Amino acid sequence: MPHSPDPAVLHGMPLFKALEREALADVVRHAQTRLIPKGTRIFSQGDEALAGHALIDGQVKIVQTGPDGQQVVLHFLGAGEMFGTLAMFMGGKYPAEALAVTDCVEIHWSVPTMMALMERHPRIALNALSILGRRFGEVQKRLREISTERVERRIAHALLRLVRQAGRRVETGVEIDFPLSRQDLAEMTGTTLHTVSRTLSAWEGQGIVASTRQHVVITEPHRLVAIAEDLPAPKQKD
Amino acid sequence: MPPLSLSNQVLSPDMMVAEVLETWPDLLPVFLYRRMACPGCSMAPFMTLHEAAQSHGLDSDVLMEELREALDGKLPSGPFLPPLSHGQP
Repeated sequence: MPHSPDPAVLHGMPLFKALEREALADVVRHAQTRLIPKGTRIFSQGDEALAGHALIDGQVKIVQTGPDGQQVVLHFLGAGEMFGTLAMFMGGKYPAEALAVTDCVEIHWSVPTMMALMERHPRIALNALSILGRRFGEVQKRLREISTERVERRIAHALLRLVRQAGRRVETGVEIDFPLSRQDLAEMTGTTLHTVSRTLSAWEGQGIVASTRQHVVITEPHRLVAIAEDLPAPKQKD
Repeated sequence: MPPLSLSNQVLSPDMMVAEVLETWPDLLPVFLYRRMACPGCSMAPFMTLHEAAQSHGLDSDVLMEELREALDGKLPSGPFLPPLSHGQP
């Protein structure tokens, strides 16, 4: 017979934020508690999402395995944190596995229980939306960063290819010795004139290139190579 | 071994990196050892040894010394780590 934990354990969990005392008691009443020995796999990636989980004590790591078999630790969770809770809204499968790093105490709610709680207490559903919204925002931000990085690298590579073809050493750096417009660069890199202009202006600001309407001089060749090759940050030594 | 005696070139800090590597291909490991991105780089024909060393935060005298030692057959051995970032102001 599972016992109901103290409602205080829900304190600080974003899913139950701003819930009335009555509602919190209802949530706790429907939770199941269990002890999980260290090393247990609480759920596996791809398993049907049967429940939402919250950690009361101990540590859990969330690990995702990519198609190439590479494993990435997404989160380390401690007491008071929830996990696997949104999987029921994400295709009904756990997107990663959860491993008990220490002996743990968790509470969980089956999917039908959680749905019923959300219907009785719409605040929980609104909280879930706000958590999802925040995560979505993070994903969008990361996606934008990745696509910006990629286009910068493409432009840097295009300039380096042109240098190989038509580079000429001049006083201020290495000049691409034929007329090259920003539109040409946009077409070479499959991007827009706007993006090329913005990127070149940023590089001009940093002193990496100097360009006129039809001419480009690379004033800091090594830094352009570092962008193109995505070289790792220098290690501090000596 | 590079045909040192047959080459009328003399290694100097003002030589372009690509020219150095073309003349003495055996010097390649020195650049790898120093984690320089020069080998195969589009900019290598336009950058001097001195500039390349500088941009990697390396004293160009040190690089020249190592290159001369390598010409004498004292080559650094791997495994070599990937090139470091460079050209930071």
